[in-house]
Amino acid sequence: MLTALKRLKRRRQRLEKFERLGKLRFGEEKPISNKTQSVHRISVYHQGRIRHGLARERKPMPELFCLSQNHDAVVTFLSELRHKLVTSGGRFDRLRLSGGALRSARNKLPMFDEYIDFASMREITPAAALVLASEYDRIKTVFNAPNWLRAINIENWEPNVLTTLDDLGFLPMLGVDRPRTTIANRDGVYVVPFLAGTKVLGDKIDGFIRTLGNFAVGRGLVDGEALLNRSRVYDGLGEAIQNVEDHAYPPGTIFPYPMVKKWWMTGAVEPGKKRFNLMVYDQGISIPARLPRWDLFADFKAAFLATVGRDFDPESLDKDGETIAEAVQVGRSSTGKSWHGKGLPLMREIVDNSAGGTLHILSRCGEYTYTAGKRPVARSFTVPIAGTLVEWDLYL
Amino acid sequence: MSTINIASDFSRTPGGRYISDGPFSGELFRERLLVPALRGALSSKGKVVVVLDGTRGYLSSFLEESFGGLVREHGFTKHQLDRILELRAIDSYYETYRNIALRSIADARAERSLAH
Repeated sequence: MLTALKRLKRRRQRLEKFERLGKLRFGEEKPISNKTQSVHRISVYHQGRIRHGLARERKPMPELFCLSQNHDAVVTFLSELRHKLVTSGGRFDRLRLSGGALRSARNKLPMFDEYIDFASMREITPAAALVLASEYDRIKTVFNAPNWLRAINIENWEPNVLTTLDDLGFLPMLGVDRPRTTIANRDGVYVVPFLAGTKVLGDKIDGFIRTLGNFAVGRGLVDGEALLNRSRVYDGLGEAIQNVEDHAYPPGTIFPYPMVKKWWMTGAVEPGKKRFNLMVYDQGISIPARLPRWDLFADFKAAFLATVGRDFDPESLDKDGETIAEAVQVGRSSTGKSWHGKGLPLMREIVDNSAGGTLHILSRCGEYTYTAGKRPVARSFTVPIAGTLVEWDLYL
Repeated sequence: MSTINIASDFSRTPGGRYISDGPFSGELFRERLLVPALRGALSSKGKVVVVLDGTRGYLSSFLEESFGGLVREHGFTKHQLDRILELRAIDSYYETYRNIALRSIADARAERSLAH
């Protein structure tokens, strides 16, 4: 008892000392930029334990973490996150080399200069969650550090955000290793754990479809897997992954950050509405940037000039939406030519094989949306996403 | 006549185009099963039947590399293949894949003059 009291007292003294030091170094509750910066207490969850610690700077996440409805804020955040993860990964690597990581891990009081505040998120979509997860997954692969990241203030996270991230399989990357016994229901929507890979892996796609089908079957949609088969979902997911293999990470390309040649995939099912949401993401060079290497580039350039009224410039971002739309159209209409480049139109066919739905492609600044029975819609944002996200929202 | 059932003789989950793209690729299927069977059929004046049914689906790149690659990489002609290769889709669901495979053969251009 006495020892525990002593330990508590010592911890309080250390906290006070760190706070005093923080005030000396950073000033009293003085904001450094537009974010909340002052030394404050945090809880750090790792491997079943919550420890208290201190942090200086809190980087809040956008409240609405959705790539469609809050695109610019989310993509800007993701870009900053990538930079932060790379720099802190580098720091971790240097510490590890010098043995400092071990000392840091033994430290009774976790201290952070900065942390990402997931508690500020009110809502997150599965697609945005997949892109977020890919950043963490990539950085863990790059720095080969499975136990490096931590979940901060997890008790304050919005329950629906926590559920989505838990279902997606994101939390173990932050050291939250609570075994998942049930899949939580979020307004009738179930998100399946994400998959990542580096090749066209038919058995993984098959397993993924089975998982989605089983979720649906277990919740009243008895023919869930048959419906997915009928829509040729296997082919669409495979085409998306083959596109990643063929074009996303061309040899010799220099990326601004350490890169892993991977794809990420997840899905959600809403059995009550016979609705399936599937998505594949890569962090590659994007569709507009890879078009000059395309076999059908000459046809594409002519079509782009005719439709948009100016020459195609792969460096120009302002017509990325139209660029994707034109690439899909050229791939569809070209016959008797190379089969390279048929992937995009085949991805669109899944929607036509369903009772209804939408294909949504987000690549660099462009967004392409195809809804069954309607004209495709293209638009361009000002802030580019890293890579390409292909998302199907299918009613089967 | 020899029969290759892709689902039972190769894989129920066919993969991508090249062997470097991952397991059960179109290139692997062509090199391991299709070309030896077709060469045998040529010498014995027989026929090879490829059954497409039973798989989870196909990627267009798998079909193109498997069947278009016969013309492109091995110098088979469309005329020859019409004679010695039969693509069978028992379930109408697989008819789409049969059409893609046939179109791949028709569209492919020989990169080698003759290889048999």
